[in-house]
Amino acid sequence: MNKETNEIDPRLENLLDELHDVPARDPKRAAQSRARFLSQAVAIREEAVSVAPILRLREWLEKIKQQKEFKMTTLVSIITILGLLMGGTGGTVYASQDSLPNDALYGIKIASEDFRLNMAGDAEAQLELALEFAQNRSDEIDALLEEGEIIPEATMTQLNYHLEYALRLAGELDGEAKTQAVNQVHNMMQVQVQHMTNLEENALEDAAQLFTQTRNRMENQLRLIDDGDLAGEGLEQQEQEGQQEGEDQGQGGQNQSQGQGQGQGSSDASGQPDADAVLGSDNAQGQSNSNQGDDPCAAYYESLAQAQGQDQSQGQGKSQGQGQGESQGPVVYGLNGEACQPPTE
Amino acid sequence: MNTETELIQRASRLEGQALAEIYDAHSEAIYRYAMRLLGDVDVAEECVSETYTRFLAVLKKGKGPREYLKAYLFRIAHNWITDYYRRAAPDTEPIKDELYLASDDNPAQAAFQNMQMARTRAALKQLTPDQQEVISLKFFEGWENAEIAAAVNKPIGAVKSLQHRGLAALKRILLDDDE
Repeated sequence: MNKETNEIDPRLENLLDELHDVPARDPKRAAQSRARFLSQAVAIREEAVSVAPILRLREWLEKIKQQKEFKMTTLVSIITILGLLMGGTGGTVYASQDSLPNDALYGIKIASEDFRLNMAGDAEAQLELALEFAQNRSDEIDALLEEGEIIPEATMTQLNYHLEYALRLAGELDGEAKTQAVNQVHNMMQVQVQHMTNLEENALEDAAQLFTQTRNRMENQLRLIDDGDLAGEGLEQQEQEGQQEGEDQGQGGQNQSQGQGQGQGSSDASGQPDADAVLGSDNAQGQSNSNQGDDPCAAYYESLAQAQGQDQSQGQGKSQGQGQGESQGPVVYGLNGEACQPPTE
Repeated sequence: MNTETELIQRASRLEGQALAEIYDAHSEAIYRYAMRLLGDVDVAEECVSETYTRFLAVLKKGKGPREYLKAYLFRIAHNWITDYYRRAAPDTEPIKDELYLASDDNPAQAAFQNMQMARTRAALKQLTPDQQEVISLKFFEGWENAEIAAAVNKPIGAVKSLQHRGLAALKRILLDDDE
């Protein structure tokens, strides 16, 4: 018992002591929880890396559109710059479309998808693209398994992300268009849930966990739809509730509402948790973070190392029997199109 | 710059290695903390998972702690537990298929002990959230008052007061009925 403890009834002390010992944590569940946490971090980093430059480019294009004297030479310049940014000629971009996450051109493929998505005119067009890209990720997973390769966790995360983004876009529509769009996303999610279920049955343990996590995340979204909490409405509502809760917290609102009179406190420079930390976290796939300036490869490899660390000897799906040994796994290419170097450790 | 400050800064940039270090350093303690208060393995795991998810959400917004990382994470965990209590039906303890047998050589005694533990947890739930947190950090985690003050964002004097009132309330709930 702590030295600073004074005047505690020994009987009460005994009762509290009984709660002190707890059963040991299941190492498997702890590892899963850790992997999930790191996977979420990877997803947030990837999103920030992929979205931030596109948003800046979009803002720039919007400014150009507003200029009265928009010259053709400007358009040519934009296309040329984009061509250079995306790694060369249009032929390279075209050639990248069949690439897989372990291919050299994969970064260009992802960058071109991001570009198409952000250049799409309206929410419906973006939604169609998001579903197309989700299907691309699904096809890539199948192709990698066919080749006996490991599925990068980032690919699974992106599959979820595209579907959730499509759902969010569906929520921005109105009337019949919204209903149809939500149904479209719902159907796609159901197909992918079944897809993941099939993959789980044939995969080894580590890979199966990854498929299960992906499927669970889809099923959570499906439940939201089935409960009538359609797409953006749910997210907006969460955010509004979060703002309200933040305001309430400043007045000790949460606890006072129970008549207990003990405010929770709010975040400030002293580093105390704020309302954000108390809110739900379903919207972990938010918008860009201006703090993201790191090499995205570090997060990729953290994820890969995590997957390998759980069982170095296990492959995935059809890679069974091909053990990873001391290999660092397939080469992963960052969203900038550059190869990520294997970690030195 | 001290090690923790540096670690927090790296985490704020969502560096995988830093986040892994943070998880490894504190997740076990948060699990035990949740387990003591909730008495349910599944819910305790959920608490750990949600704590770190919320931590990421805060980092993503460019916010989060600048110091006292452990206290910050425990505060998130405790807020989650408080929310869990609110969501759960009042005065109910989860019914587990397998009881945690603290005493493995005497099932009857173990069952009694489990009931006693459930009763103590139920009593803790009747405290205010701050009292719960102070009592839990003090008696289960063995934190010093200064650390607890950082976690609950209150002066040390207020921590002592919360502890005193919390213990008095527990004594009234748990012991006065027996007398």
